[in-house]
Amino acid sequence: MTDIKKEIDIKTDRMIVNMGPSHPVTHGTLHIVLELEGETIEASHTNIGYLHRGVEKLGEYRTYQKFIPFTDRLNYTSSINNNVGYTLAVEKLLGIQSPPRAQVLEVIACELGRIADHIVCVGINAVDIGAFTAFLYIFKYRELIYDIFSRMCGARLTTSYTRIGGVSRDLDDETIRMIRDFLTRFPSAIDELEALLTKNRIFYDRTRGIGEFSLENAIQYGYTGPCLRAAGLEWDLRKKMPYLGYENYEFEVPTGTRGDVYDRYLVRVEEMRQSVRILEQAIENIPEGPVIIQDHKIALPQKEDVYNTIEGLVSHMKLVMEGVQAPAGEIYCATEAANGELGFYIVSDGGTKPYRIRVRPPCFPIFSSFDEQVQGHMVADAVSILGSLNIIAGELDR
Amino acid sequence: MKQTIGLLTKYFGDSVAVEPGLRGETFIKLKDESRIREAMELLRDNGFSMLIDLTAVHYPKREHEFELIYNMLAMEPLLRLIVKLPLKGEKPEVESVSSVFKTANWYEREVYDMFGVRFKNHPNLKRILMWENYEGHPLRKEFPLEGDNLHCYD
Repeated sequence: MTDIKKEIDIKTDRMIVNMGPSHPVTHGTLHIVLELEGETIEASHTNIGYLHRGVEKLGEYRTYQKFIPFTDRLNYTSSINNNVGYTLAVEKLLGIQSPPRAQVLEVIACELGRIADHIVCVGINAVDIGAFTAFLYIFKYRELIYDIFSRMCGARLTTSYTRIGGVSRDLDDETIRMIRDFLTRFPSAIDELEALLTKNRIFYDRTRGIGEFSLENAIQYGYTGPCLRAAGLEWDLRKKMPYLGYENYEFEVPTGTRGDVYDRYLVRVEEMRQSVRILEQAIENIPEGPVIIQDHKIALPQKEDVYNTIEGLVSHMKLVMEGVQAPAGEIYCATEAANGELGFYIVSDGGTKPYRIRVRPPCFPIFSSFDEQVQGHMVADAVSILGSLNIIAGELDR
Repeated sequence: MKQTIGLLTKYFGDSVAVEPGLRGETFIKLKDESRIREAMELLRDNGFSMLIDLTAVHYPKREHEFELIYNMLAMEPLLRLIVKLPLKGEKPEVESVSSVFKTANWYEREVYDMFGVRFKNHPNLKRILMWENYEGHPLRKEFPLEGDNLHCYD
């Protein structure tokens, strides 16, 4: 037999398509250059850094407390989780723990933040694919969460809720009532969302098998959070390395099987249900007591003490002028943020400012796999993959 | 964790030193910078399957100006190990580990961008957060916090 030569190989010119830096589906400023062969993506190149503000550099020039507002601007869809992650890291460096009441309040804040983040991710992902209705139905509930946040900390987005050694404000009865109200209404909203999406033929076809990622690849790329769980590994730091007393709450960790866009959607939806479960347990069991540590070398004293006693005045003045004195050393503290493992690596030289502060953003390693993931898919699939990875440019570029 | 440290000392002998952390972490200092790839391969094949983070710290007054920090994670059981790699000189060069962990690709680009540490055999060593013609490396200690130009304070 003679070798049959491939005689005709029709190749057209590759088309270059720019997505971003300002594009409706990037949800932030990213730049993706796609090389297309027809409608198939042959190669993709990503450019990031449009939102780089030098957060790590700024942190080296500020005291430990003054870095808290910067953490709001990392993952701005769930800023409260970043606050908690950062203050936990500083508390670990100082070797202290916030009081029990503060820990429960932080759990409540974290889970509300997680729900808000997943609402954004799932809702926006659906919009990008064309399911606008689901987005409108579910987004109303993010508004309720933001109302709760604004009562908890006085701000909707830039929360800065936590302090080193506790939280800034106590929950009042009205806020607790609002959270209870939210918890009774929200599960039916998830059902509604699922009714609109989960068995929706168009949504299923647009997401099933798209962006499939094997578990080995996911681990190689340093995936954490919902994207890793969708690939099939039961990995949740709240279970594996409990912090803030997460070991006392009953909840399950959902996992997927194929690691595609559909699985990521399912994992996020189930995580919202589990967060509701955690919130129900937390809201009924808030212990009494202070919400911030009573050590005036770390936390500000009460206003009455500042005005009426000399000790209060002096410790207030020293804390504001100098800041918290941290021991020399290096620590790494990781928490399960909505997107994955949010870690803070702090190098302290024994002063009141960190020598080096490193933020380990969850979506940075996840986004680095984007080029590999979209190869061989259609242009429209790149949009749904990008949405499912939940890229938040603020935390990607820091 | 003891097993891992035993393994590392078996293969690397004196060039490995264990440092106890402030709050129970384990730090390992690898003094021989040419063997980092080997060390990463060894760790990856012995349970530390994920490279969680790769970053650097700049110590301008020390002999070893830069310290690379490889933050490793073992999943079963959960162990964290931080490998430190001190590097000499102002513009050091070190073997890339992006062939061992794919995630190191972007992390190394970021370290290059922010600190000016170069990585040998890296597939695409370009700036990642700053733009391409940018001069200077922002996270070095001599780099100013403020200023309207790209020059460094003397």
